[in-house]
Amino acid sequence: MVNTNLNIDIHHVTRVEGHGNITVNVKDGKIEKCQWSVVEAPRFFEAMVVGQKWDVLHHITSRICGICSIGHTLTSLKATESAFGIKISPMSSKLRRLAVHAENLQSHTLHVGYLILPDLMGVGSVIPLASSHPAEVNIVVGLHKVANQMSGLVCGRTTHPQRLIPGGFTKYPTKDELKALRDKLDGSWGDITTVAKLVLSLAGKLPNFTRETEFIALTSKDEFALYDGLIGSTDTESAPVERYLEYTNEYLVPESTAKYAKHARKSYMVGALARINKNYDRLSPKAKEVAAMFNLKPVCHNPYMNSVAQLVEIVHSTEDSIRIIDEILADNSYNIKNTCVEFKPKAGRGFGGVEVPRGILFHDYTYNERGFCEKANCIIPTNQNHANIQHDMEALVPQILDKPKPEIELTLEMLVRAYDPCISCSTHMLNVKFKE
Amino acid sequence: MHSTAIIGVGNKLMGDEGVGIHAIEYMRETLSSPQKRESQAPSRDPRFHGDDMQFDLIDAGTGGVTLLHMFEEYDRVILIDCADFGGTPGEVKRFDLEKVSLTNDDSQISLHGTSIAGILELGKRLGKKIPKIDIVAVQPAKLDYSMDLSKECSLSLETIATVAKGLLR
Repeated sequence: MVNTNLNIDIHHVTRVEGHGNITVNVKDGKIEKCQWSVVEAPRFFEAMVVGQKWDVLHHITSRICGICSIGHTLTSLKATESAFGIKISPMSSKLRRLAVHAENLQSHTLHVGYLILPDLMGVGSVIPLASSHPAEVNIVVGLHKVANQMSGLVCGRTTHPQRLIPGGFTKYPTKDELKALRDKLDGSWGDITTVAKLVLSLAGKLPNFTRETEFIALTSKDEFALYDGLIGSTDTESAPVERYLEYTNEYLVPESTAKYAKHARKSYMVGALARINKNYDRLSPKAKEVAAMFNLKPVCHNPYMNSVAQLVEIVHSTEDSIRIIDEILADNSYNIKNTCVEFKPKAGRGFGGVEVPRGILFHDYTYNERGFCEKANCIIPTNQNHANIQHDMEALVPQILDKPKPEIELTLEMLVRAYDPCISCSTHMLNVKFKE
Repeated sequence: MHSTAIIGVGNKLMGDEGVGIHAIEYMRETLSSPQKRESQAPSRDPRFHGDDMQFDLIDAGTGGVTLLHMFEEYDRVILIDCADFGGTPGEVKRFDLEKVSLTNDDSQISLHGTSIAGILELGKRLGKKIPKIDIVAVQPAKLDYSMDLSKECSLSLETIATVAKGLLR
C-alpha cells in the first residue's frame, strides 16, 4: 500500500563523513518535500593557502582530508608543477601512479568493508559484524593494512604524505622494498576474491534503481586514467584540466552549505562508477572479470553500483600496481638518488586534476613571481555529487512509497552512502564522559 | 618490534583541533637528537631518546582507522588529542582509557575522524593486540579554520610533553 502520509527526517545520515540530512514529506499521496541537504559548516581551506609559499601548499592541502590526503597532495603538486612548468621524470610519474593506487586501495577497502557490508548484512555498523563475521572483517582489515604499508612505502606515511614534493620525490623506495610490496600485493588475491564473492552473494540487496545521468571522470587513451588525463564525460567531448570550470559550473542552493555542480544535464556523478562508465575498456583483465561477475557494464546508471565499481577498482589497482612495480624492477637505470628535477618558481597559474577515491579533484593556484600563492580554488568530488544525489532521491522516492517507512529510510540512506560522500573530514574532537 | 609510541592526532587546519600534531612537532624540536635506525619504517620519525627512554613519535593526523594498525605494533601508547573534558582552555589532563568513555559526535566508525572508541571496540572484537593506552587530553580554546594554536594551547605544549614523557617512566 502506498504511504499517503509520510514524514522522514533523517538527521545526520550515519556512516558517511560529516553531516547531511534527508527530508521527505508526503501528504495525501503527494510528495511535498524530498530533499538532500548538507548542513556542515562551509570550509575555507582555499583561503588558508593564499599567502603561503609553493613548498608548503601540498602539505597544507593534504590536511584537508585524512582519507584523501594523498589525492590532495598529488593534485596540489600537479597544480604547482603546472604553474612553474615542471616536468617530473618518467620514474616519478610511475611512483605517483602507485601512490594513487595505494590511496584507492585504502579508501575503497574501508568503504566497501566497513560502511557498505553492514548495510548488505543487515547490521548497524562494522562493530557487530566483527563479532558475527570476524573472519571476513579480519580479511578487510588485512587488505587495509597492506594498502597502508604501500602508502607508507611510496609516500613516506600512511596519511599526510611527506615524500611527495614539487618536482618529484624526496626519496624513492629501494628495489628490495618494492619487491616485498609486490609480494604482499600478489599475496592478497585470495582475500580480494573472498571479499568479492561475499559482496556478490549479497548483491541482490543493492536496490535496482536507475536514473540516467552524466558521468564525469579523467580519461586517457593510454591507461585507466587516475593520475593523468583529460576531463571526460559520457555526454560530451573531452577537454584539458585547465578547462575544469566549464565542467563544474558550481552554484549555490538554499538548503545546503556546500556548493553543487552541473554540466551537460541538471547534475552529474563522479567517482568509481563514473570512471568505469567512462574508461571500462582500459580496466585491467582481472578487474574486468570481477565487473563481469556483477554484470557491471558501461554505461551503468544505478548509483548503488558505485560500491561494486569500487570493488572492481580494488582489483584494478592491485593488478596495475604489480605491473608498475614489475616495470620498475626490470629497469636497470632505476636510481634512488635521482628523485627530483630542478626548477625555479615563477609567476603563473597552474591546474591539477587527479582521480581520488570519490572522484575527480581539481586544484587551481595562481602564484606571484616569488612563488607565493595569490589565489586558489579546490573543487572536491563530493560537492560535484550533491546535485546528483538530490535528483536521484526525487526519482527514487515515488518508486518506493509503497514500502514500509524503515525500508524507505534505509534505501535513502544507502543511496547517500553509495556515493561515499566526504562532507567533512576536518574535525574529530573527542568528547570525554566519566563512567558512573 | 617497537614497544612504545607517543602518537598525536588531529587536524592542523582547525586551530586547537590540531594540538596533538603541534605537540609531536614540539617534541621533535626539543627532545634529544634522533638516532636513525636502518629498520625505521618510513612513516615514522626516527626513534627519539631522552632520559634513558626510547619511543617513537608519530604524527597520525586524521588517519582514523589506520590507528588500529599502529596500535598493533606497540605495547604502550600515549595518545595526545584535543578533547572536551570541561576543563579550562589549554588545560592538560591525563586519562586512563579504562576509566573514561569516549564518544565522537556519532557512535560510528569513521574513515576520517579518529573514532578512538570505535577503533578500540573493533580491535577487541577481532582479537587484535591492544596496547596499554593513556590519553593526554588538551582542552581547546578555539576550533576554527586556522593553522595556529590558541595562546592557551601554545603555552601548554611544554606541559603536554612533560606529561606524556612522565607517563613513560
